[in-house]
Amino acid sequence: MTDKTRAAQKRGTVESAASLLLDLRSVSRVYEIGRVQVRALDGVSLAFRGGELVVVLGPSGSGKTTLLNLLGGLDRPTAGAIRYGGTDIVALSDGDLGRFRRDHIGFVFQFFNLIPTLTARENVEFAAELVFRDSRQVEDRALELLTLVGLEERADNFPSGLSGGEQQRVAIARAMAKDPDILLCDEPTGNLDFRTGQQILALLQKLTGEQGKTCVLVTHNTAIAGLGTRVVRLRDGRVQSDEANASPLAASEIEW
Amino acid sequence: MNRKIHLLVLRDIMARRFQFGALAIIIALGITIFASMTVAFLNIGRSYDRTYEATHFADFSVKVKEAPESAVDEVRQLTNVKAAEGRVVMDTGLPVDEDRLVQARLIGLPTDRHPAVNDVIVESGRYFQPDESNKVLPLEKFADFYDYESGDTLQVFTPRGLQTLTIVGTVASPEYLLMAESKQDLLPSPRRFGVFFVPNGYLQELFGMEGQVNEVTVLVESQGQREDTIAAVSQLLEPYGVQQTVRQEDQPSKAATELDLEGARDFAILLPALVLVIAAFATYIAMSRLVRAQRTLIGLFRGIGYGRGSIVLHYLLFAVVIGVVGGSVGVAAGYGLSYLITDLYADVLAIPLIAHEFQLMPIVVGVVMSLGVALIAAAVPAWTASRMLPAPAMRPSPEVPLAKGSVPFVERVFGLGRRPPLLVRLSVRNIWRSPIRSLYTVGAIALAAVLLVVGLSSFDSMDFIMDFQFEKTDRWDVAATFWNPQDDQTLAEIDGLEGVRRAEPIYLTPAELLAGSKRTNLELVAVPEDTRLHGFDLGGGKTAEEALAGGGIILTQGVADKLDVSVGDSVDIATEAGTTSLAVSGVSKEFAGGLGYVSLATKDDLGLPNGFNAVWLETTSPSANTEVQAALYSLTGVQGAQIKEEIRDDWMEMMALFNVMAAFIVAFCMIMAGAIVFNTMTVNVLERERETATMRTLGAGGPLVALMLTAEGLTFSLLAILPGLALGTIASSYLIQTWSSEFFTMWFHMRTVTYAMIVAVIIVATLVSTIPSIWHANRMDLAEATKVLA
Repeated sequence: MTDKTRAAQKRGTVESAASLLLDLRSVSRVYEIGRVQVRALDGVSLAFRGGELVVVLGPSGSGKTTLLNLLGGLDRPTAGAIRYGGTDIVALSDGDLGRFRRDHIGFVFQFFNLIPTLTARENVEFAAELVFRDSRQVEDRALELLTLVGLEERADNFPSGLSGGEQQRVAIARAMAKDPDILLCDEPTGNLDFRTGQQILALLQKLTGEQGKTCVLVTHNTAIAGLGTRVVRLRDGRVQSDEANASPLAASEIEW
Repeated sequence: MNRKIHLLVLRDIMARRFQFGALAIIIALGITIFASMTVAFLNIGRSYDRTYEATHFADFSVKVKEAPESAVDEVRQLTNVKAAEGRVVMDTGLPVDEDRLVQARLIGLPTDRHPAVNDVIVESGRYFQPDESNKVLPLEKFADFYDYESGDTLQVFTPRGLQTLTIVGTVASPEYLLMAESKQDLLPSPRRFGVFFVPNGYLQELFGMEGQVNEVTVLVESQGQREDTIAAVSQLLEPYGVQQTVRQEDQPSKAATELDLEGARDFAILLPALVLVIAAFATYIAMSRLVRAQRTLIGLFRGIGYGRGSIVLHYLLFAVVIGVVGGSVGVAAGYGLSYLITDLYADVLAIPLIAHEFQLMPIVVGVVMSLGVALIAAAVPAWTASRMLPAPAMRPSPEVPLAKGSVPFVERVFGLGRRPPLLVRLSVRNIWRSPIRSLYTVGAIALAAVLLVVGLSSFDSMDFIMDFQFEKTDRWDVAATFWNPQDDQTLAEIDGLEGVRRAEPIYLTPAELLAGSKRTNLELVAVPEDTRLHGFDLGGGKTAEEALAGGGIILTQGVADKLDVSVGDSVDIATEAGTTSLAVSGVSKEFAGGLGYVSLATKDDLGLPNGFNAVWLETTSPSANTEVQAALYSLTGVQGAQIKEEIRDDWMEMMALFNVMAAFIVAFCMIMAGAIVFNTMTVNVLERERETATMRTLGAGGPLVALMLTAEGLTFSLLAILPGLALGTIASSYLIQTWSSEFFTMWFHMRTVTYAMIVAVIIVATLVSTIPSIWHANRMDLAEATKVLA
C-alpha cells in the first residue's frame, strides 16, 4: 500500500466514522492492589464523535486517566466493550492494539514525554515515520506541523533547550504527525503556567475546529470546561454528567 | 549526631538484595580467586621447600666424565661442604610393552644408608637393604602410570645386555618433582621417560664403572660462600673431566617449578584484579543509580538538616557492607578452596610433603582489597549525593541526562550528505547520554575482547610454535644418543637400518656459556655444516651453513637473551675439554631453549672427542619410527632413542590441560561481556522506561523497540571491538613474550579467522545479553510507564 492510498484510506475511515468514532458500552475497570479491589471505572457508557472537543473533568481518583488509557488502547477494561468504527478494540491482540494506536490515536502527555536525544524536528519525524515511508514526506510533514505549532525556528533544538510550552507544542505536533483521528490529552496544561496553558488550549481548539480531529482532554481544572463542545464529569468511576456545550469559549477567554 | 538514616542502609540493601547480592558475589568471586590461589601457591611453595629440606636437596651438582669415589671423600673435606655424595647417573632404554621403549634414567643410591644429599622419600614398599644389587625404586609417577608394584620386574638395556631389576618400592625425589628430563625436555610424560633409583654399586658394575662416579652432589654450609665452594669442587674434580656444574636454581625440575609458581603468582593477581575492576564498575553503576533513585530522599535529608558528611557516610556505608560481605565470603571460600587446589596440585605433581599452613597475608589483603574496591566505586556517587541542594533535589527530576543545545557538531559534519536514519541517530546519541556508563560498557567489552585475544592467541601461538618446532626446526623423525663417541662405521650401520632414509651424526655435550658476568648452562649440539635434519631460522638471509662454517656458535633466542649477546659478540664456552672463546655467528628462532650449535669441525677444534655421540634420523615413513627405535636399542652402545612424534604428543597432551584453562578464560570473558552489556542495557532501559513507553504508545511496535535496543548494544560492541583487538594483540604479544625463558622461546601468532571469531563472539554475547532488556521493554505497563518521572 502506498503512503498516498494509506492516507486516503485513513481519511475515508474518519469520514465514514464521522458520526460515531469511539463507543464505550458499560465499561468497567477494576484494579487489584494487594487484597483491595479498586473500581476505577464502573459501568461507563460514552460515545465520541468526529470533530468533538470533549473535556473530561473530575477530581483525583475519579477515573479520568483510566478512561483515557482505555480509549487509547493502553489498557483493557475488566468488563464492557469499546468499539472503534465497527471493531471491538478490547478483542484486539497486543500487536493489533499497537497498530490501532499507531493509525488512529495521538497522545499528548502532562509531562510532554519528548525523547530527549531527538531534536524537536526529529521527535515529530519519529512519529511520522511510523506511518509514512517516504523520507521526503516525513520531513515535509514534520516541518508543516512545527510551523503549525509555531516552532519552525526551533526545529533543531533538543527538548532541553525548549521551554515547557514549546515542549508541549512539539508534543502536539508529534501527536498530529501520524494524522490521527483522535487526540487524547492527559492534563496537557497541568505542567504549564497560565499563559502557556492558554496557548496550548488554543492550539488544540484550532486542530479540532480546522482539521476535524476529535480531542478528548482530561483535566481536573474546571475552568477549562468552557472550552469543550461537550463536557463529561466523572466521580468515583461513574459518569456524573455528560453535557453538550453549544457555545464553547475561545481559549483566550478562559482564566484560572 | 543522629544516625537513624544509616538504618536505611540495611533496609535499602534488603529491598535491593538481589542487586547488592550480585555485587557482593562479584567481589567475593575476585577475592576467592585471589585468596585461594595465593594461599594454595604459598602452601605449594612451602610444600616444595619442605620436600627440599627433608631430602637435603643439593645446592649444586657437578657432572664429570668419571671420577674415583675417593675424590668424593676429598670434596667432603672442603670448607663449606656440609655433605657430598658421588653417584652414577646413566640414561638407557627400558622396554615397557611389546613394542614400546621409554628412556630410563638410572641413578645410583647407597644401599647401606640413605644418601646425605638428594635423598628419596619412599612412597610405597621399602628402601634398599645393604648389599642389594638388582633392585630398583622407580619414581612413583612412573610406577603409577604403568601400574608397577613392589615385586614386579623391569628390564633395562646396559652394556652387559638386557638386565632384570625387581621393584622394592616407589619413591619421590626432589630432583624430579616435575619430571623434567633436561632443560630441553621439561615435561616428558612417563610414557617416554622414567627415573629409576638403583643400588650405586650395582650400577657401577653394569656400566663398567667400578669404584667410579660420574656425578657429585653437594650440600653447602653457607649459601653466601656457595660460588667459592663450586670453584673449589670444580678445581678438585678438574682432572676427571668436569662436564657441567648445575646450581640448584638451574636444576631442571627446580627451575620448572619456579617458573610454574611464578606463572601461578601472576595468574593469582591478574585474574582477581580483572574481576575486581569489573566489580568496581558494577558497584559504581549500582550506587549511581541508587543515588539517582533516592534523589528526593537526599533532598529531604538535606532539608531536615543532615550535613554533607552524613550523606557521604551514608552512601559509603553501602560500600562497606558490600565490601565486608564480599570480602568475608571471598576469603572464607578462598581459604576452603585453597586446600582443594593445594591437594589437587600436590597430587598431580606427586609432591610428597604437603604443607597446609595458616596464611594471614591473603586474609588481610583480601579484606582490604574488597573494602577498597567497594569504597572507591561508591566514592563518586556518595560525593555527588552530598553535593545535591535540598530544593532542586526534592523536585521531580527531568528525563535522565538530556542532550543539550542543537545537533552535535560531529553529527552535523558527518551528516553533511544524507542524514543517517533516526534509529542510528538515536543509538549513537544514547551512548552520549551517560558517557561514564557508556565508557565503562565499551571499556568492559573491549576488556573482554582483550581477554579473548589473549586466551585464543595462546591456542594459535602454541599451535603455530609446535608446527614451527616440530616441522621446521626438528626435521628428524628419530634421535638416538650413545654412551660413548662412535665412528663412521656405526653411522654406516645405522644408515643401513631398514626404515632409515638419512642419518646425520651429531655430538651432544653439556656446556657452560659465559659472557661478561652472565653465565648459563646449555647443551652444545655439534651438527654437520650442511645439516638437513635441523632447520635454523637466523633471519637476515643468512644460511646455517654460512653461520656454522666460520667456526662460530649459533645460540637459541633464549640463551642469547639470557647472556645479552647478539651476532658478532664473543662468548666463553666451558666444556669437559676446557674453556674456549667463540664468536656468536647466529641467533636461531626456535621454541626449544638452552641450546648452542657448532659444526662438527668446530667441536673437534674445541678439543672434544672425535666422532659423534648421537644421531638424527629421517625415516622412510612414520610407521617405520617404532621399528627404527627398537633397532637402535638393539645396537651396542645406544643410550636412548626418542621418536619426535612422541615428544610432540607429550606437548599436545600438556597443551590439552592448557587448553582447558584457556577455554575457561574464554568462557569467563563471554560471560563477563554478556553480564556487562546486560547490566548496562537493563539500567538504560529502566532509566528510560518512560521514553520507551512513550515510543510504544505512539505506535512503535515491539520489533522497532527491539531493533533500537539491539542497535544500541551493537554500537557499544562495535566501538569496543577495534580497540579491544588492538590492545589484546599488544597485551598478548607482551604476555607470550614474557612466558619465554631460557627453556623455551615463544612468540605471538594469531590467525585472521580467530580474530573474526572473536568479533562474532563479542557481537553474539552482546545480542544475547540485550534480549532481557527487549523483553522488559516490550512488556512494560504503558499506562504506568508513560507517567514515570525519573
